[in-house]
Amino acid sequence: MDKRIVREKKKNFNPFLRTYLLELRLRWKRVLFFSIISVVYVLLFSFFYPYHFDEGQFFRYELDFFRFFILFVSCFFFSDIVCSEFDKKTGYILFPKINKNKLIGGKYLANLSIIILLVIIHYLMLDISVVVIYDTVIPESFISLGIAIFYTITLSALILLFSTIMPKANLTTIVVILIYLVGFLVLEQVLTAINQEIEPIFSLNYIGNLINFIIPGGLLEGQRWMWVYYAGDVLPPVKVWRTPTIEVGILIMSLYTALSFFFIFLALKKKEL
Amino acid sequence: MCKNSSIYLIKNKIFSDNNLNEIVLKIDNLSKKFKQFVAVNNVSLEVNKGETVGFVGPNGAGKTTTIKLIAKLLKPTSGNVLIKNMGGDLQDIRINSQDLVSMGFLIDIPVFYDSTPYVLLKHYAQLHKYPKNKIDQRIDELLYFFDLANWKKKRIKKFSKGMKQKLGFIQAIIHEPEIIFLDEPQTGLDPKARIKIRQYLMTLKEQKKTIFIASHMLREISEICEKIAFINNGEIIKFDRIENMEKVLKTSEIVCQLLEPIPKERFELVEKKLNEKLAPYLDKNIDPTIVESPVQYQPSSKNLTIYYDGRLESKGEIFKILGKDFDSEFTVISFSQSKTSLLEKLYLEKIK
Repeated sequence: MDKRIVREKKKNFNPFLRTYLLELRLRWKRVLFFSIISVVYVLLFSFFYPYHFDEGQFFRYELDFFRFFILFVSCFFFSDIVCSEFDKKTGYILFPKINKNKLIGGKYLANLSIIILLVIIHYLMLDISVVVIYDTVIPESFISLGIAIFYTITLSALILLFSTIMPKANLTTIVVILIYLVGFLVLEQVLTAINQEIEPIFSLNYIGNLINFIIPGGLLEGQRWMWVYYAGDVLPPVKVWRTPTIEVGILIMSLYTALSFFFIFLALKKKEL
Repeated sequence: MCKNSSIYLIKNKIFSDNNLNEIVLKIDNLSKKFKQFVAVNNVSLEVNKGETVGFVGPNGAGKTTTIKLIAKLLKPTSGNVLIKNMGGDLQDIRINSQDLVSMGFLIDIPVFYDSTPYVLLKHYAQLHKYPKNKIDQRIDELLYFFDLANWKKKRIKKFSKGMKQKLGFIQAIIHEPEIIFLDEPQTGLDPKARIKIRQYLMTLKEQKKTIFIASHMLREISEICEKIAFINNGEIIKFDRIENMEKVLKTSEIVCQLLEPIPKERFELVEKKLNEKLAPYLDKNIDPTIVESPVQYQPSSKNLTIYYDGRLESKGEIFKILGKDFDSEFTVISFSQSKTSLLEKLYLEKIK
């Protein structure tokens, strides 16, 4: 490649790299805090785990906590990336040496690296616990880790989208948590009431179940739904979808991520500091 | 992006004011509209290398918007901003900011990330590719000069408004930029800090740096800048050297510092006598809404201000008369000519 082009590319990459490194530096306290929470939780759970659990149950049970943990942590790291920059106008100082795409891109990737690191730490702790307690390794835990990372990327893109639209970080966090914990669940219930045969693949909450159910033992092999009985035998059982297939899960997460980035790009284009 | 602009690169051999100067900043018919509100309206301006230009106007005149357009914080509705690039040509800032000569910006009161001056200044210096081995020394020098050395590793959120403003000024100059854009650099500063900033600006001026200062503080501007652009309602009303502006006014003022104050009971008489004796030389076109009388006395400062017609001969005659006819009334210990009040007068004339 032409030396001049390489030099140009390096020149353009520098602001991005600098932003990335600064963001890592600014976030280290949060990283430390959430790493400690993650490690302490796994340690406590490992000490006081229910003895009748097999290794699969232990892992899946733990991952229930992990999914909420990763939602809150993502909100903590991603909700202020765009809105605080536009609200506080911290970017004034850096322009025109850096443009808003490089600034937001650098910050986003730094936070994504952090959160992926937190996910890996959590899985690592869980795997070590399984080895110590059950003297075995769950190979599917590594597939689960891959899906968890993909899921985190999707979640981060969605939060970043709201951070671009919303004026404040707190508002972004509230809206995302409400959508995730209330919005998706309500829609899932409505869909179940309308037609139990339709799989709620629109719901990120449902897609996230893949992280748990990839660990064997949660459902019979090939089964992705279960009958749930409410009020004993008085009412007929309800067919509740528990997990999508890996292919559908990855496809939906990819769609969410791509659409989120597309809308982020459009919103950022219009936004002026 | 402005579709009608065809000029992106212009060779910098441009003649201005009959001098061959190197233009480093050219604002060409720049406009910015926010819905129906026109914040900047067809602003055109050329700044030569080493010039210090004051951008003066009332609040909401369009000063900050213009600087934001130069900093690419806002997109212009029409027009271009051209800045000298590394190759010596004028280049549209929208092409690639990385190629332009180094610039430093201080816009509004800066808001910093929650960190320490050291971490952030180092980041800014690295961002601007300041030589790695010199960064620490440069940070120390500047923090020491602006009395922030003890705060080097303290969190910025604990800083006062003035300290943040000083830090904002430091970040604008940390990488020794060729062009420095300052928007109200004196805001929130105590007198000592103002002096420090002024001193530093004078040093930068000596180093032939190009400085562009937006402010409504005429006194500060007149002490630092050689050129002034008056802006109001988004339009440049006047852009010229300060001396040329004074010529336009055709009036000048002499400030006489007196040894002893003129007694209250005597002043009316003295004033009458001064007006009579100096009448042929005083400014007859003075606007009474701006200056009440061509001879004014400020008892608190023991200053006697005389507005004359600006001619050199008149000035000589005034000195003679003051020395000869008023030696029994008062003793003049010094004469000075302030540019500021003249500018204020012009400012008020232009920005109504």
